[in-house]
This record gives sequence, structure tokens and C-alpha cells, in this order.
Amino acid sequence: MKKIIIAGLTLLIGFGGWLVYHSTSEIPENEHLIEKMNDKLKEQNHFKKGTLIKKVQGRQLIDDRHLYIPVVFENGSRGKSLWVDGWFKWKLVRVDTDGSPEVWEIDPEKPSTFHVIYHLEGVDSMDLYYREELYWSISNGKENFYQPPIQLKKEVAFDKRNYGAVKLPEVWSDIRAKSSDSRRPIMNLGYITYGENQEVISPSPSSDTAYSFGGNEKLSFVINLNKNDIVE
Amino acid sequence: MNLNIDFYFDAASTLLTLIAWGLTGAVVLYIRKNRGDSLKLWKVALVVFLGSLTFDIYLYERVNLPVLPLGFLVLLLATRKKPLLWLKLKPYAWSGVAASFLLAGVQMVAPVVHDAFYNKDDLHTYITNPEETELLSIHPKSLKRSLITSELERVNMKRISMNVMEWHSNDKQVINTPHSKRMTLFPYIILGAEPLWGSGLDPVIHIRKDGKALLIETNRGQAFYELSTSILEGE
Repeated sequence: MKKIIIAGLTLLIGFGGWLVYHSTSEIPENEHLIEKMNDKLKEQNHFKKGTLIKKVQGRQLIDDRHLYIPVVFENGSRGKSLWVDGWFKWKLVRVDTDGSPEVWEIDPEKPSTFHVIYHLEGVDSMDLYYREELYWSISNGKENFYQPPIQLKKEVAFDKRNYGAVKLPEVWSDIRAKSSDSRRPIMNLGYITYGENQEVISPSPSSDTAYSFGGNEKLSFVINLNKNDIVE
Repeated sequence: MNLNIDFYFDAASTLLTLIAWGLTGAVVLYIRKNRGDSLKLWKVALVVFLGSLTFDIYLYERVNLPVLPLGFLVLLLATRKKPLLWLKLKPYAWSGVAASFLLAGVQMVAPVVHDAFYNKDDLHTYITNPEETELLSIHPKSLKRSLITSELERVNMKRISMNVMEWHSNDKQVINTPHSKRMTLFPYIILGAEPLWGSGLDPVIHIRKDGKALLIETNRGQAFYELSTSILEGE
């Protein structure tokens, strides 16, 4: 009987822990978010003075456990902050002083969880591109390999919000997930931003510093393209 | 999309693994009966399982060669002061080690069995649901064409070697033209195809621009096929 009770209790505690771990904590008020981020930033030894966060632009839940919060710094530049829900509370994992698009690989093994996060100013719309370069290999012993070039596009309209987290289109993540051959090049995402009159806007060079606060979140590049890089 | 799990399920490999464990189980039961052993069955199973835990080196895809019988050594150390117990456990521990080799061997023949189950040169292996498939243009310069899904059921395909050299020279011009003017040999892929159940194949199917050839990529590599008729219509 004793054994059964112990086993029962263990199960209960395990299940309880699992529930707590998987329940979404409440997102703190904006002031608290800003305070937390600024405290963490000040702890950084290569932290530059005057680049504290002044404003939180919004909050976008990516899933129950991943949160993207676009921020504005005291000097006016736009940035990104990433939060992950841990035990009972949201943990800050990263602050980026640059708002240009990046891929947050929620589960690096599953491209269907990838999100492009951005926070841009003076931009009206953005085209995201999925590209794979033409690639081939001929080798003795191993079979030949040929990768036809791919270029797919997704248009992202900026309504009133100049930030967002866009899930990779299913087709993109599907192609990516299926490509198991190690000879295939790594995923190549790019973007072009447009102004009000559909003119291409190149991002002004900014000093991009990313502060990491633990966790093992994986982020990857989205390259700024110009019209010569793409097929139209 | 949840059905995806089924696509990855490799019936050949799973079946062989089950056979290998079944065989091990039969041998172990035979040993136990012969020795008139009083050892509880779950304990026997545990020892066999521990014996099968090994340190492996990766040979090639899915095939790992056991080199160090870790579980066996742990058992040996744990019973070094109880030689009588070790005598009791030894045959089962060895059975576990044997099982790990058997499992590795089975994975080596798995591709042959897989080929016997699933004909790689039959389009039906890759596309069981032709009506639900769609054409996706992966190149902006491609012509607007569509898939003749009824043709997908009828068409014969013949595997020919991948003439990468020829495609390459064809594409050399491609490389020398600016990005914005490039054209490609394989501008389409088939979306929504479900392969045969249990094949574990999750193919990317590229279509040549004339619709008369396919480049099929799976986790087993790439293969190139010429078709008896075109599967594309329009323009």
C-alpha cells in the first residue's frame, strides 16, 4: 500500500510540475517589461550608455511559450526583444538594438515553427523571399546531386503596425523540412522593403548589438536584398 | 498535417527491428527453459535490454556499428562481488550484446527489403493521391502551366542516370546571366503528394519545364525519371 501511495504522489507531483511548466504565465505590464530589460542591459559590461529602452511597441505571442516584444530605445532606434516562458514567469532571453528581420527558430529541427520577426520604421510593405541557389555536385563514389534553384515570395503588408512575427509559409517550411541531404545549402531567406510609393527602401546602416541573456534560442539571418539579387 | 507522422514511418525498417527483437526473445526464452531458470521474466528482459546498450560508431545513414558493450560492462562491474549471480545473468547479458549486433545487421539489409516493398520506379509510390496534388511554380520566370492530375495515374516513368554534367553546361549560361534574367530547367514542384503508407519517403518532386521528366528527392537521395507523356498543360 505504501508503495502505491508513493507512486501516486510521484505521478501527481510530476503531472503538476508538467502543468505549471506548460501553462502560460501572465505577461507583465509594459513598465515592468521595460524595467526588467533596462536592468539586464545595465548589467552588460559592453553596454553603451544612453541606449536604454524607452518604449514597448506591442506584444506578439508566437506560441504559448515564446513572446516577441518590439522596443524603442532612448535614441529613437527600433529593436527587438525575445522572451521565453519558464517556471511561472517570462524570461528575457535577448535584446537586439536593430529591428531588421531575423528568423526565430523556435524549434530548430522543425522549420514549420520558424517565424520572421521585424520592427521597421518608415516602411510600407515588405517582400520576404525564400531562395535556394542552383547547386550541383558530381563526385566519384557518391551519387550525383542537383538542386534546382528556387525563389518564392511572400508579401507582408504593414497595416498600422510596423512590427510583427510572420510564420514561414507552409510551402517554404515543407520544402525545407524535406531537404535532408547535407549537401543542400542552408536556408536562404531575404527581404526587400518598400516605401509608400512602392520604391525600394534600403535600411540605414545601424550599429546592431544583440545582448543575450541565457537560454538557447536560435536566430538566423534574413538578408537584405536588392532588385538585382532576385528574378522578376 | 498531423498525418505527416505516418509518412515518415518506415515499415520495412520497423518490421525488421521487430523481427530482430522477436528472434532475440525466442532465443532468450529457449535458454531460460533449458536452464530451468528461476529468474523472473522481467528481470531477464531487463538484463537483455541492458546488454543491448552499446557505444556505437556511425557507419552511414541509419547504420551504427556497436563497438563497446557498455550495458554488458556495467552488469559485469555490478556483479563482480557476486560471481554466482553473474553466472546466472551472463547468458542473458550476452544475448543482449548479440541483439545489438543483430539490430545493426538488420538496418544494413533494410534498404533491400524497402526496395522489395516499395518500387522506387513507380510514380504511385510517391503519389497515392493524384487528384489532391497541385503544381507550384518555384521560379518567377516559369510559364503559367497546370498539372494534368489524371496523367499522374497513367504515366510510365523510366529511371535514367542524372546527367548533371549536361544540366551543368546548360546552366553555365544561367550562371553567367544576371540573377534577374535566370531561367531554370526545373521550374515546378508537386505539392500535396502523399507517398505510400509506411514507405517513410517524403519526396520533393521537381518537374522539368517540358513536363516530361521528374527529379525526385527523398531521404534516400535523388533519382531522375523520364516520363512517357507530359504531365503539364497550358501555354
